[in-house]
Amino acid sequence: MISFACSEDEQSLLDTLGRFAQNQVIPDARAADRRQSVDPAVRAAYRDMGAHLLGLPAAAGGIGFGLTAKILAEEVLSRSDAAQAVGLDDLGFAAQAVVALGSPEQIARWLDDTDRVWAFASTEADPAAHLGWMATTARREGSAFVLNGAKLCVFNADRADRLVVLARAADGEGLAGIEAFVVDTKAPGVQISLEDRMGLRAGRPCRVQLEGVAGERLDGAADTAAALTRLFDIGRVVNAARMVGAARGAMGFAVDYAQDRKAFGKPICAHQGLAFFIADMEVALESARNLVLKAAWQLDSGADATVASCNAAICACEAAVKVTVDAVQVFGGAGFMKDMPVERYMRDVRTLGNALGTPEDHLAVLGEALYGPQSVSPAGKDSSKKGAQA
Amino acid sequence: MIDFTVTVTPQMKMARDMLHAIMEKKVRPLCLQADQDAGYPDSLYKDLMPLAQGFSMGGGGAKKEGAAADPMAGGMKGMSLLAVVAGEELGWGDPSMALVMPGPGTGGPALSARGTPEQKEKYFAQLKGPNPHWAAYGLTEPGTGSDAAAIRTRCRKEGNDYVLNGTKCYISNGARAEWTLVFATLDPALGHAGHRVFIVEKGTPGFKVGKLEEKLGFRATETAELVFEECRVPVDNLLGGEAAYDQGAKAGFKTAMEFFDTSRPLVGIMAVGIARAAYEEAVQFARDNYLLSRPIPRYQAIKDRLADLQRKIDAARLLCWKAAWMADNGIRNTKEASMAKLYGPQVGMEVTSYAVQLMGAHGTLKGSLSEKLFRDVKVFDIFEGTHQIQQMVVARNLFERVQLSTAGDVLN
Repeated sequence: MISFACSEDEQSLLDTLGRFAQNQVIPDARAADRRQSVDPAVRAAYRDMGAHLLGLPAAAGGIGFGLTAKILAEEVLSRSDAAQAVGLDDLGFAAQAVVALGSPEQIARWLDDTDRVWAFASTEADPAAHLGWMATTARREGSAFVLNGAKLCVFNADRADRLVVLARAADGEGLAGIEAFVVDTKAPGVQISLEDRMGLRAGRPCRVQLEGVAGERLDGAADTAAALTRLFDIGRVVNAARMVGAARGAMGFAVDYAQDRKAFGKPICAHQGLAFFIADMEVALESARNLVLKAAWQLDSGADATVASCNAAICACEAAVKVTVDAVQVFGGAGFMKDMPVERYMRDVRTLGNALGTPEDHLAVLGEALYGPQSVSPAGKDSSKKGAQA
Repeated sequence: MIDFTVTVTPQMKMARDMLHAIMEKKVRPLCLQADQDAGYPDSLYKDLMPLAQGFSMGGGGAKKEGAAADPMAGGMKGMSLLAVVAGEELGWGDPSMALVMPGPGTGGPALSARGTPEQKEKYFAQLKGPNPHWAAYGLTEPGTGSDAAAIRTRCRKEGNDYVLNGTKCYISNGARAEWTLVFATLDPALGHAGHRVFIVEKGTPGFKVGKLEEKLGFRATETAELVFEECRVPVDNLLGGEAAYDQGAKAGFKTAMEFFDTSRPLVGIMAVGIARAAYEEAVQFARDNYLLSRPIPRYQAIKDRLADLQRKIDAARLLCWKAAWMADNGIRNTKEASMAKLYGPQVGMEVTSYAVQLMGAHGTLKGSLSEKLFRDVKVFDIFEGTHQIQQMVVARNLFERVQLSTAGDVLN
């Protein structure tokens, strides 16, 4: 059995969010891209709806909706502007990480005040560093940990109160030895600077530098690697939902424009070359969206969702990049100009596809999940060289 | 079966290597900043003047008869392959170079082919000298892109003047141009027969520059809106003179369309140059870095994908070379020119997107060359005839026994 249906309450919240996105998010999208921030009034309206609490379990301050609702909400928002969707996500993956990895005491303590802003720091600044050779380290000193390293693409970091940082606490292959730590952004040794990035600019992507920073280990998970795997599964699906949402937004603009714009005496959609071109966009988008919904459903049902989330993320990235690039094409020269919304969707989707892992990362994870750890690429002696470099 | 024998002559290699060196030393170091600032510093334009004097839509520095008045005399006759072989380096260095290079730009070939001797003398001379000058080509309007014949900018004759009214958009170098070739119509109902082309000088009363566009990519180029309100242009500035329009009813429109056979392979090859630049960055990144816990080259799927991309780059390059070679040898190349223009940017988009993707969070940071190229290359699939227009031209040249849609008639 598979069902993509929402409860009545969920649907009503999604409808409210849809109106909010239409009335408040779209009108400010270009300005938010320029300013690199979400308008305070837009943020206040979002919080008033309680939308920032979506996806959290009730015990962690949530409002009783599942992950599917969170994922659909991100899709609805991203249809208007994925960058503001990211910028509005004040609790985000960091709160999910606290839920997935924290002890009940830690969850209660850290998520007690949901007015706080959190940011999730996983991507390594050293391009040669990856999950297997994470260059950010955590060293135990008494009961505390001291973190050193640098992270990229940390959304909302410069306005955040707290970070969840992934760091290597012990030697190991893959996820083994990687732990999550809560870091206060005001702590000595934390340096945060806004990045200049292609897209998602209103989401305030930042670089985070950690030098001898104290962190608290999230120590509630019986199996940390399994909990991290689940966390990445959730992250992949949320991100995929944003890509699909943004692609749907661009698609909507393209379909409208193709009916309004005339060339050679008729609407351009009446030219077969254009109509079939747009039909292909729709097929790619719809198939990706269904995979995203299936993965969300699987996450909520508690089933293992690594394969489903990788399928969704890979397909969503491919489809969304195609659809947003093609939407610019439908607009022709106008699509290339910032006065039209479609170029922003193209930049945002390309940036989303590279945040929290690229399709290549997901493919490698997928290969290992399907066929075993040695199947994707054979281990070789050169794989250990990196340890010395990093 | 066409015997396709491309010889890259020593002269072509010289032009290519010279352009490559200039791109590598002077342009690449500035291109990311120019993307941010939406333009290069004036000092670069001045630096490029010696190159620009010889570089006029594929002139490639060759000396020709009558070069004094008209640096483009003879157009690209016999020069197409040279232009394509060398032009790849412009795309590789910075795609914006195709338009920011001082000189007549896209206005040059039309003035050279259609202008009266007096017009050529006067207007090419305005672009000479040690300081950089530009000219522009004003065809596109807010309501007309692919359907260029549907222009609405009006001209009416009053005594010894024509009076222009209308708006042009997306005009490259439109604000800085000394003069712009402006397409207008006596009456839209006349179709092609009503089209007239005017040389409008900077500062002509009634002609003003509207907004400058803020763009996704190609940002070092200037893209302007031009507004004409009761703008008076002397009859002497009618391109080619009154007689040209009496002889051939479609003279004005032909001016807009006649250079595609040589310009389209050039647009295609610049996209190939862009693709090559992004491919080089992607391969370097793959060599140096890791995915999960293994070096990237240990992943067969990624090697396969990169190998696919280099194959497509080479295929696109050969399409451009062949179309250019046909032009140089007097063989009708309408279909091949369109295929080159269609495929090059398609490959460019695929390669730049994959390069960005492979570099992950590093690929979307400003400062990554591929990040910029991904934004730049999109327009190559749009200008000089969109992807869809090229498809129509190719289709029209494939099916000889069936009359395709009338839209195809005006395209070539």
